[in-house]
Amino acid sequence: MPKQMLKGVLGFVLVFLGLIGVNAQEKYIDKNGIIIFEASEKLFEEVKATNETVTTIFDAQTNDIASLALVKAFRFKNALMQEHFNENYAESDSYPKAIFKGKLVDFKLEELQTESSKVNLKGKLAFHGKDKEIETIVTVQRAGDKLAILGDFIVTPADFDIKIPKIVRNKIAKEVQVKIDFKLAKK
Amino acid sequence: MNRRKWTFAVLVAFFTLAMVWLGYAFLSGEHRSISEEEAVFDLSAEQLFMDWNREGGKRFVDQTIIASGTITEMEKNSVILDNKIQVNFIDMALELSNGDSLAIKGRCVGYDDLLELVKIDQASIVN
Repeated sequence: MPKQMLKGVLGFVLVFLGLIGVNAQEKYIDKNGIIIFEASEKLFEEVKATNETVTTIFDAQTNDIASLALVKAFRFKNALMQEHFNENYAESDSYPKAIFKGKLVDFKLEELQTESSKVNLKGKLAFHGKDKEIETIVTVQRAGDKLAILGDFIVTPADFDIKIPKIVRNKIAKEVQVKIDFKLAKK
Repeated sequence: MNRRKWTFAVLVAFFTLAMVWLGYAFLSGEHRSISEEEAVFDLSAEQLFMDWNREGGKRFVDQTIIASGTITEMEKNSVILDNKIQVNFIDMALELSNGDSLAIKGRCVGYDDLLELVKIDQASIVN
């Protein structure tokens, strides 16, 4: 009888430890992720900005992924363009962040080998007070405790209720290409 | 007479060049140089974080700030001070390690809800 009890307790402890272990190693974080967006038109000045301090958290247990970019951290080559972007288009004083919340659909981290694999990323991008559903294929690669996520998708200014004045309409592309480059480390 | 013409021509050329230069400077728009700007706030990482959470960070956003603290984490060209602020340096190569105390000057970008950190970029070390 005591032996049986001991077994039970031992089993319980093992399961408990296992749970702690699993919980402790499921989060992947990147504090310096890169997002580049580009809406350049041929013959006109480049409309392109880079943010190199994007935060991304991936939970390998639920496949939930959340990404946050501070709008003011997007840098343009042209400072004046950056100012216009912040003041007239993104209105970053009123809407300081862009947040993506979504999932890596049917992704199984434990089955991921070192070679990269294509994964469906689905979620919602909130920017300028508007939400936009995003669905795209990203490349996920694992190297030890690191996880790289690379991809791109297209949005339009209208998706986020951003009006482009007529005078610059032919200098800004109708479609904005957004590229993501995240390198997450296990925490 | 000839000399006058020449002087006039030179003046016109000079004026035109100046206008072109001004126009160019205006259109291309120079970026701010945070390291050369006077800091508007000088406070500890802890204080910045507390003030931000108490009253919102509007008065800090886009301002040049000097912040001090101890390095609790490092990643690429960034450090975390006292688990409260993330500082991204302009220069990559930095001889810093965990536990170092330092003061930095940079631009306050905003608040990161995911990690609960105040973010600062374009930073340089001031001590």
